Amino acid sequence: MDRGQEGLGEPLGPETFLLPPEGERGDDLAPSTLPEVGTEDGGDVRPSRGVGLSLLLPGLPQLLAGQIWLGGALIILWVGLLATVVGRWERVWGAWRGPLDHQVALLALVMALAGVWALSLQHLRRGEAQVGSRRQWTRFWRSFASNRLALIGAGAVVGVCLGALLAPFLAPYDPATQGNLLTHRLAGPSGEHLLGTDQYARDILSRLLYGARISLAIGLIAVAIAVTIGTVLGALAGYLGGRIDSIIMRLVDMVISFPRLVLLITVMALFRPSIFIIVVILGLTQWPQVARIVRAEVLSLREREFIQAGVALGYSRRRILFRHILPNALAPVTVAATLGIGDTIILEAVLSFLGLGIQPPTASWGIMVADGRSNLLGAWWVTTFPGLAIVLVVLSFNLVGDGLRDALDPRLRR
Amino acid sequence: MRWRDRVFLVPLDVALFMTAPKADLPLLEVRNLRTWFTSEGRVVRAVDGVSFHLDPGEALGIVGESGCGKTVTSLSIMGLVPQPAGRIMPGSSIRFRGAELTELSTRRLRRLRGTEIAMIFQEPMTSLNPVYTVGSQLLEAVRRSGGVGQSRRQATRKGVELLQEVGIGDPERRFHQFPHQLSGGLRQRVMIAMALAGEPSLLIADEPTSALDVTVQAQILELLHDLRRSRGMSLLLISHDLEVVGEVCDRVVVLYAGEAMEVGSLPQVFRQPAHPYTRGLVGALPRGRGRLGGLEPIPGSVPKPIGPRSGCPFAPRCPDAEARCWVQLPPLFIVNDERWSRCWLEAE
Repeated sequence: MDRGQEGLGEPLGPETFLLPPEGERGDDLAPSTLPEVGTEDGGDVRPSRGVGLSLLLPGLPQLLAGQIWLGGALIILWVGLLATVVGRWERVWGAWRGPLDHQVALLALVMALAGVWALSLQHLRRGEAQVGSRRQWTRFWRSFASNRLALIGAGAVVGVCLGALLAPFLAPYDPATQGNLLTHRLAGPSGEHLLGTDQYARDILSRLLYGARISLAIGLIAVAIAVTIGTVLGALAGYLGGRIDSIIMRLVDMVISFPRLVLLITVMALFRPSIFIIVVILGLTQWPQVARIVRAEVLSLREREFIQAGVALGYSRRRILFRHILPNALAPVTVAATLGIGDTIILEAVLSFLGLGIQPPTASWGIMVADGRSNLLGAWWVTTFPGLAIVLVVLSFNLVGDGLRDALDPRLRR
Repeated sequence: MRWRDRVFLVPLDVALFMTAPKADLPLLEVRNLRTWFTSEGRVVRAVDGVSFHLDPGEALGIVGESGCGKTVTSLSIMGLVPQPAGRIMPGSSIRFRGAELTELSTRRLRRLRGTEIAMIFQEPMTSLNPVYTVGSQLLEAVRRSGGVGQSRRQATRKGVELLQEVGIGDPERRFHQFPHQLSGGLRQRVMIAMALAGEPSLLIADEPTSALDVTVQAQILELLHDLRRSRGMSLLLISHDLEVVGEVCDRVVVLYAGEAMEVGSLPQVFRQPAHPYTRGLVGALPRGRGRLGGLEPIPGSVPKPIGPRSGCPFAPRCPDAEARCWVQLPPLFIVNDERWSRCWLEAE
């Protein structure tokens, strides 16, 4: 196996570009990679011409080289971003002096444009330098990219994140402003309101975009809290063992055995619902899963030889745990976190649907579904679009999570 | 008085006193080491009364079959016996530079590790952390022992020097590579470099070559031999392979079922093994190419060190076993001034 890696690690010189792409791959390494992905090494594209094309239209060289997925995605992103700039020029131009979220959106826009550019160029150059740490990532990326569903999920996640960040530019209307209640109440999808309006004549598309901010923010922050607590407690339980392990794991059992929704409803009924409370409660009820995963990882890692070697070198227990064990346990945590974001988004939607989460008039997907419930027969679009959004986002996160698990696991077994 | 060629029956402590090493103080002195494990309510006597000493700059080999307590002996010296299952029993003594290691606090033991006593392990493939480069792991070891006042640049220079010292070509490139990009032999060299970072006076090598190819094995052994010479460091080499020990060591301790069966200088033990077990080991060595007929395996297998002890543990497999071998454990007899053997045959 070692020899195969060394062979792959040879820097690809210019003459390699003349070879058929299959020839340069170690056959023992990527049996699962699809043939299309194999061409991703960028065999056919001359770097010089590719760079020129890339400057004009990122993704075009990739498209010409036959990488339809990557090239197409890059082009769509680039064109979409440029269209946003052109179409909403006044808002984009005025964002500097606008409110904070406009400034953030402007920053995100610039970074996204630069990112697409850099990605395209970087991808062209990747054939040249594949030494050192990069190779690990390349292998991980190949494995991930061979899973088409995961790629689609990742694309959707990126799209939704961009939509949420750029909401001030993209949204055609203000999400909370009511339109003309006489003429535009519960109006169906039309050129004026792409996804229709709700019973207060508010634009559904705008509310969806702003609602994505709430859902994603709550999902990300709650999972961040859960991962932090879960990792620390799980690592301590696994590494220290004994009584501390028992105490922490009994705490885990306790929190897990408690029905989350009931707990959330109770807490929400006690406090005035606010985003802060929701995030904290969601985070505080999610950590046990992470703690279990981390504990199991640490238990197996601490018996490994390189940990023994560290102990024999006289490293302190803290150093061993945090510098040597934990970084090796992060792969499954990443997977759990990605999957956890989906769960959290659903829970937040459920809470908001029940009226215990985000309070109107703030846009939240759960509230939007609840709002349209009474008009389901007459105005299907009010519930359908936020419902679809929830399904799409949760599905995407789960696809990405599954893809990460498949891509990270073989690396761990190595 | 001349001890040579005479056989005495003496208590162990007196024997140790009489065979006091030539230097004033041995670097390491292990006396009557007993490390027992409790598993499922039964007591496993992994190490049961091992004694030896190691002079500064000397190389001592510990040989024995698997399960005879070699590794537990080394872990006991390092203070790394798995807790709470394992315990160094009272009455055991491990003296390093005169300090009693069995009585040191965990914190002081930890300070000793890496700086005074370093250890390398059997599995070079998995002994390096896969997520860091060779260099960053080496730097960590250098900085841990090099004191606080060391700049990153100084530490890096020392790290590259160490890689050179252990015979790694192109150290600057290797410095930035990950463990999985190195071969087993290179990884073992990196492990040795990390162990040397703290300038230890004692290096314990637990089966350092067992997982390597024979050619690489020879290179690593030569490296250990050279390093011991150039650094004046003591070496405790643990192996199941008498020949590996023979390449590097001055003296050898033969372990069997947790007990030291024979201690002696290497040529003596090879040429005239005193203990029947050692004789068996030497007889089981392949001598010359293709002479399979010369191999003489020892019949039977190592007894489980569980339950009460009675008699010599080797008695069931011993060709010369007598009635009393089954009843009474022989003490360590002095064959001559550098040589002990735990066998009743010596009493005659």
